[in-house]
Amino acid sequence: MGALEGLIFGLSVAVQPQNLMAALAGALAGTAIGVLPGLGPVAGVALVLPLTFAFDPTTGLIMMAGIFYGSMYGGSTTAILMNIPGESASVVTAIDGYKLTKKGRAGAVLAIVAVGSFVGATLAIVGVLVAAPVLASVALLFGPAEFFALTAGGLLVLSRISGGSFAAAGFSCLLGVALGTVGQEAVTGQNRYTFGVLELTEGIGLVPVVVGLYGIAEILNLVETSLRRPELVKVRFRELFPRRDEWARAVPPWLRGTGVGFFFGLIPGPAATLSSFASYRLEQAVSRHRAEIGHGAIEGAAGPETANNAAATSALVPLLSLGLPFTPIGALMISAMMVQGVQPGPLLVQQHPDIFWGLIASLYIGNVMLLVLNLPLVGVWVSLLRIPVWFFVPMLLIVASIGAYSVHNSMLDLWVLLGAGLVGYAFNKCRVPLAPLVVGLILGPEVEKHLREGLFLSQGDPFYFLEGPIAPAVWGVALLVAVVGALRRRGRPEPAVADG
Amino acid sequence: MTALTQRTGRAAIGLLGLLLAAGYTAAGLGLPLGSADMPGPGLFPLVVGPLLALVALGLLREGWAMRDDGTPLDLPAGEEARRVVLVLAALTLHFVAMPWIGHLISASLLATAVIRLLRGGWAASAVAGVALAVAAQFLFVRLLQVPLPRGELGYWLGM
Amino acid sequence: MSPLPFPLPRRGLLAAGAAAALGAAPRRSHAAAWPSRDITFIVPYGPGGSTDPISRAFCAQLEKILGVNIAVENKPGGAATIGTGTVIRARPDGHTIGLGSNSSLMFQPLINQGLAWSSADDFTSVVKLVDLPAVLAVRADAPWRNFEEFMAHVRANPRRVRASVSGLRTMPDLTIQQLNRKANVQISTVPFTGGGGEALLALLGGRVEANCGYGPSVRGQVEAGKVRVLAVFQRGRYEMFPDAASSVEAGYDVTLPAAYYVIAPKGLPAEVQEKLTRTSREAVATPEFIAFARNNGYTLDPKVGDAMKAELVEYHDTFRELLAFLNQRS
Repeated sequence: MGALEGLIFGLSVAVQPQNLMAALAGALAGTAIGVLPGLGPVAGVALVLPLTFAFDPTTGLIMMAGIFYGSMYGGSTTAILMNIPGESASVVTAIDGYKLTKKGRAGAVLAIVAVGSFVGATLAIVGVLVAAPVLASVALLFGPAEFFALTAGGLLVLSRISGGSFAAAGFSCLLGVALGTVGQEAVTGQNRYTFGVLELTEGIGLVPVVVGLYGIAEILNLVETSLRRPELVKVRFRELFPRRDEWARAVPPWLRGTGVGFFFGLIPGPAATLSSFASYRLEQAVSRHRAEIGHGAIEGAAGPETANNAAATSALVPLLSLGLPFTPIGALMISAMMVQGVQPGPLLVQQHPDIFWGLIASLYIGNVMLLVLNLPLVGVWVSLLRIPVWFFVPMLLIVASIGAYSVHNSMLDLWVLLGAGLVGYAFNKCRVPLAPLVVGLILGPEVEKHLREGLFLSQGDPFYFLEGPIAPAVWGVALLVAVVGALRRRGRPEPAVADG
Repeated sequence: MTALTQRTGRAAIGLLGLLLAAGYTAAGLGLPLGSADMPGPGLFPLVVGPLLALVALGLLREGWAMRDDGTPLDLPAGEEARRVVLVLAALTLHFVAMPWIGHLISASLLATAVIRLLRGGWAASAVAGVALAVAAQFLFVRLLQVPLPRGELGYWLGM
Repeated sequence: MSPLPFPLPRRGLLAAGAAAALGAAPRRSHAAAWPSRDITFIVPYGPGGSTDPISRAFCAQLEKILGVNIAVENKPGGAATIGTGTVIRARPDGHTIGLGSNSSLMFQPLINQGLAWSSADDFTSVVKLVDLPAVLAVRADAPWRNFEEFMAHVRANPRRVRASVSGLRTMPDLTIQQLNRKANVQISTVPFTGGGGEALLALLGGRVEANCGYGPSVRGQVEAGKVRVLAVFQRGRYEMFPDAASSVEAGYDVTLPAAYYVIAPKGLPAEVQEKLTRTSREAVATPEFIAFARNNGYTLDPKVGDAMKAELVEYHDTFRELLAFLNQRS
């Protein structure tokens, strides 16, 4: 079946009432889950997994996918409005998004991000349609050497993503890497730095750390300033909409973000988060307004949010065409198929065209729904800023705690949340950037994993990591970006920490 | 207010970081290193630990060399400090109490205490606090099916 | 929308409060009529994978037989020791039961100190659900036509043949090590830790010579003609891949499936244990459960109570010998 035929067939599947309902329910639930700090896409998809057993597999998958990309739409909302990322993919969005909110442009950013999410997802769907069979093999090109280059290089490039001095950013980043080594180590099952605490074997969770570093720290900041702060933020109606120059400035980052996101989605790994960080870094390097990034530039929010939606879409390519789960969400979707007797694998497109094409077509419909849904919601979200601090603070405390707890149903995660909150508060006071810590916590374990896999595979040969055309190329790009970035910074005063 | 400056804060974090890095590396020495073809769990921490120590030293040096421009460390004082500490204490108590009295009751108490602190008036705070906790319970436990702790108390009450 | 799978137990707060006020101990005497309230079934793994669905399939049947709700709760972490520990430490009233595997119940205590169990005496063996046999797969274009040719190549090239597995000391890794031991060969295992997917990807990408994993995850690749399954590590042929050699029939006594069981805390009241065992046995014999297991590549091997416990004891010994072999070799 060709792409066009497939799409038409897929649309006929996707518009069946139960599938439309599933897309809508998934998108709505996903938006809600994304907006609530802590409840991330994985938790959301896991929550509906048992529900999907009752549906036909296409319907179940449409719903799960809806939650995934719906939460990508919603995740940025609290990041922009309150400096509290709903999930880790929105950490960089908070940097410029929140600064724009402080300048009274909250509505404009939210609108631009919603449209950007739509653009990213839609273009990615077109890309998937046109090139799915070819793209499937991209994942096969990546082995431990290539992944090591990508993740270690990524650590190098992304560690100074939100400014700060070399030592401050490096410290934050390596602290994240060190925290990432806590827990039962995946290769041999050895416990590291768990000090006999059984719950620590699961490791320091990303969700409690992100919600703590940003959410709890921001709540403490709100409490501290509650005496001096005017309780009502006035948002005039016309300020809900982006100005013409803001629309114009958003277009290049949308397109670049789509490209970055699409690429990272094809590669197994934490695609959504990695792509939003990479997109932000790309904007810092090439945007025409790069000097403003970190101080409240529309590009800093538009790029990353577009990227993570494009990645959420293109990540379906390796999932559906190889039938291999690379992410927790992929594993859940595979599980949903297998329970229903659908065999994921390269033959899925032939054996179950209704699932493959139906899912792709429903992505398109779901994204239209999300756009229609999210633009009017901008006004609602902005009005959240009018909630008085005395109500807002306990509400956030409760929601953040539930979010942190719900990931593993573990009390320990609540203590991690509190600890991360204290660290975030202290780092903000001392202008040590927080984003590198998140980068380190995400990429550190990946770097180690691929390093060790590569050594096992090559039976101890370090030169293995430079074999093939891809790994050296990735290293080259990473080093170039790092060096150019360092040179650009020289002679300039230390930039203010952006996410303080 | 004592003149705590950015310089001091940075040096303090550097010093704490250095201690952390030392402890981390020392604890990592106990892990099996493995061999080049079968790298063990101790390899990576032995790379990360010293690097962490290095950047912590960098922070210390920065604190040392930084021109003390007198930028104060914006630490809360007086009523502000009292509020921050009390909110932290309430949150800590919430986490301690949750396994015993369950999420619903614990969250009600947390919300009540925080609202009382920020707005005042026990009765109104209690109403708003309980309403908030019940709403959260409804949204997360009922609608989203998150299994929150019911607590020993919940077990005894058969809730 | 379908009824939610694990609704809240709804006993009125008021009713319970009134009972307490009247001096009636609100804690029910458990022996009287088990189950007197909802049962919690703890799955010590995250949702997805092979463990969560089989648990839910079992609970769906047990729910019907017992007529109460069974809340499936995922408690992953620590190679399944966290959730397993939660079950074993729970009140022995039959209202908390859970999933265990041969790895979590018998292997983990050998390599981890301080767990709440060290032998099969520390918990109640309820019922064995299924086995999931390990399979050996190679690329479709690999030179070996069958298991015998593969083993001949392995014998001639010690340490040169690499098999990707999903982590060291997982069942697939231990299966290969058992093969090394019994056949006196040296296949190197390469651990890929991102779940089974990456280990299989390494095979597809030609980075390793073989992969040891489970049937359901390789089936799609086999059907697409990318991968061939040479052997299945069990006694007889495997329904999913009838052409694959049975390891035992080929002369290698290597059978280390992932085996899944239902466990309860030890010290259940006798009536509760009797009823739990009886109803669980019924649940695994329902046509729905059998059909689910078949479709997903599980091998049914119903064993209850002491028979299940005897099998676990056997695993304990196998694992201990295997560990001694591995420690002596490295």
